[in-house]
Amino acid sequence: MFRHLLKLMWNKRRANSMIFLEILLAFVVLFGVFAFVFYNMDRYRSPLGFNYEQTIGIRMDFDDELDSLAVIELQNRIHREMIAMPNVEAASFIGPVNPFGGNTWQTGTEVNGQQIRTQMLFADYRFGETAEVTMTDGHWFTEDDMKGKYIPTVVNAEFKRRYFPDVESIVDSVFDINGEHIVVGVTGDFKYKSNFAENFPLTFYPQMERLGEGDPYEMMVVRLRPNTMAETEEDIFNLLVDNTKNTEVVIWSMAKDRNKANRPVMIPMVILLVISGFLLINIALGLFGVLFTQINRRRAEIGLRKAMGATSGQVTLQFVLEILIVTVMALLLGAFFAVQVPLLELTPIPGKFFYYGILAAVTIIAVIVLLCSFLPSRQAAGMHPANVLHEE
Amino acid sequence: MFKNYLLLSLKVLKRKPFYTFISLFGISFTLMILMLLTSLFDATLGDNQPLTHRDRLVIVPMLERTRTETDTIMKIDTLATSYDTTYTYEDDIVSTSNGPMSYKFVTENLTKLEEAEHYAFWNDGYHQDGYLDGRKFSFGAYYVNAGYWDVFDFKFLHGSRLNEQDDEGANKVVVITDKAAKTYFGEATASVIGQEMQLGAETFRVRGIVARPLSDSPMFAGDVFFPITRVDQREIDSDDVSGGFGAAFLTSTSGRREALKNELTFLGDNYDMSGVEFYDKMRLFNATFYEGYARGILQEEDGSKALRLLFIPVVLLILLFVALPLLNLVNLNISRVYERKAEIGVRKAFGANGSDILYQFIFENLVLTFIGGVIGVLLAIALISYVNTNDLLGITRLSYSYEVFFYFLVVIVLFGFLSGILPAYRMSRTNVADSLR
Repeated sequence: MFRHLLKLMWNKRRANSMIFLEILLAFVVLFGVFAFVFYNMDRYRSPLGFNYEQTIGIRMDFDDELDSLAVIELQNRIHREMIAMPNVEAASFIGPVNPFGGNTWQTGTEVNGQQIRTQMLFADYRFGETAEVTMTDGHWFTEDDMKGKYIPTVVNAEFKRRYFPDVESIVDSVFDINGEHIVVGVTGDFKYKSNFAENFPLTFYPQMERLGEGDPYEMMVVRLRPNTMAETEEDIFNLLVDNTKNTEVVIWSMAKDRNKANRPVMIPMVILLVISGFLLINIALGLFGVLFTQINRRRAEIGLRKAMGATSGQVTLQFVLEILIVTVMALLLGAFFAVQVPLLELTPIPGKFFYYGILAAVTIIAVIVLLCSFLPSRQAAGMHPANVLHEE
Repeated sequence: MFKNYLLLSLKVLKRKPFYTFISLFGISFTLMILMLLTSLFDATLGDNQPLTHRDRLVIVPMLERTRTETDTIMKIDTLATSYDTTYTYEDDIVSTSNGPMSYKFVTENLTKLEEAEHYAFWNDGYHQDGYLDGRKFSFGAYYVNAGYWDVFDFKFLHGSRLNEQDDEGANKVVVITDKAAKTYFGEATASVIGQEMQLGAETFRVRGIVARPLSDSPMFAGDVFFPITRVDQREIDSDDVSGGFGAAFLTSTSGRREALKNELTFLGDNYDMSGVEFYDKMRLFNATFYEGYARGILQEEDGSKALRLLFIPVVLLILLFVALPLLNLVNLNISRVYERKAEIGVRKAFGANGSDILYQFIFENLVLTFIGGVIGVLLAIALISYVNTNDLLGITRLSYSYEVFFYFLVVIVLFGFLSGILPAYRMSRTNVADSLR
């Protein structure tokens, strides 16, 4: 029967070639869109690891002539006054890189014979509590840690996973990454650039060294009581202008910044998904229309088969199988080209997402084709042979 | 005859509403997408103010400094009978730093270029936040030189630009966008000109109001524009080569851009680094407008490579997205040819030849695409205004200009023609005897 069907399809190759082409193109589009979406959803799955809701970021400008000690005193005064405000729950100072801000600091060093590449984030000892960072090992650095021989650092889970996978704990180890630092804690998964950022090794540094280079922490992360942002903002602004004697004070909402940081991936993804959705509806409707006319044109053939004793089920099966043969061939050809993308490593994206993309595209197209061929076939197969043959 | 064809095609469309719906759905949706895309391209890369001179523009967004150290690698051959120790030397770039340039660097080195007619320098690193009756405003602040207004021909709604005297005197004047004017004064009318604005610790007088640009570019994303000399005194005094300034130049003709780019590259490569601490080599990034756009999106340093990397996939994707509905329509049309066999047979029997039939069906298809096109335009306009009023794309707003409509008309005709030609050709070749059987 299968050979018979193949022959049937080959005889109508001109008509079938267009359906073949359409399915092939649909596969290519879906494959690309799905691979892109899966890749980004996988990144989205790894958590940010800190709390950004009800939180504001602040940038201010200290007088450059201030002595380090004066800077610390000023920071402590600002912190004290801010915490005293009724709507402020926690506040901390951070260095030149702010979460969702768009900039990155990265460093690569050779440590004990292995090349370690890590992103850097600069935060004070209050940051762990302010941003509600989860710790999997050790603790966020405290004020006491600053008095030790080595300057403390905190790393994220990916840092340990990537560079020290077999060790029980790296807390209390000393690494020479931008100077010698002692690890006091390991956070859970932590990434700060956006929800779609890569889960990358990350190290946190306290203010001490940067203060020595005349680069004190001039940004803040402040967590507020829920829904008090609008009423508190102006008071905070005035407090900072008074304390720094400089109007260069910028306040932003971290939640909004997160949306902005997600936008470069989110917008193309939504656009691609919406367009693919409409394309699929379009193809489904079109295929339905084409198959409907094609199958109805073969009424005589149906009548004849039924008169010879074929059941409706057999007739339906024949039509569905015919279309499936074309579909499978188109999908095979498409998959052949699609597999080359991960095999030849044409992109830096890991290969598994392309295989998922192929699977998803094949499944969706198969379902659509089955639906679009089943309905007209069954309708045609239900016709009474006497009626159909009578017409001719 | 024209009228007959029109009536006939409308009748045919009415006869099978389901097929008409499928066709119209595909056509109007595809054309809507195309319209949105043309609109997006027009907004970001089109001939809009302040980028009317974009074909003569060369941008220097930043410079790169590197430090190269020579590593000594010792090789010890343990198998040799005697200790044979060889040294090899390797140059390693140990540190790279890139970012915008300092005030001193741009004013001392980038104002004597042979090929450049106008010089624009700007600093976009500042914000002006403040409160008006408890309402917060947040303005992106740009500090720009007088040449900035020559390079970028902003559309002035009221008032005038900043000039050389403002730069020399560090005058407290400001040019603002219509959006900023509405936020601060509640209106963007001529009466705002000359009024005072409290920005930071100082008061500025409004010199001009410009229309907010359609596109989002780091070259002109500001809300308020100050004379360059009003920038933080530390930026002006800084002896470092890196700072907060970007630069752009206009050449006399677009053909001179390459010469200017070479001049800039030469300047960077041969810059005397003896005064610069730590770093020993400099590179001045320079790009034409399109290269700069692609670079910004892909974070790829090489301009022409970025251009290729961005536009080839985009064009391929658009082609695929258009090809599918097109194929769908062709398929549908072909399968429906048979329905009208009898009609064609009769026409042919009465003396119509192949080309008559061909024209008729292409015309019918054009009518169909035209109706779909109108629906598509209406959908697109609704979507565009929705996107614009909600600022869904950030600063970028979609435009619907005459050009967009013109391109769109071309697209409609092409679409109708392409989807109609193959089915019509098949129809016109129908055999009379067969079809009248």
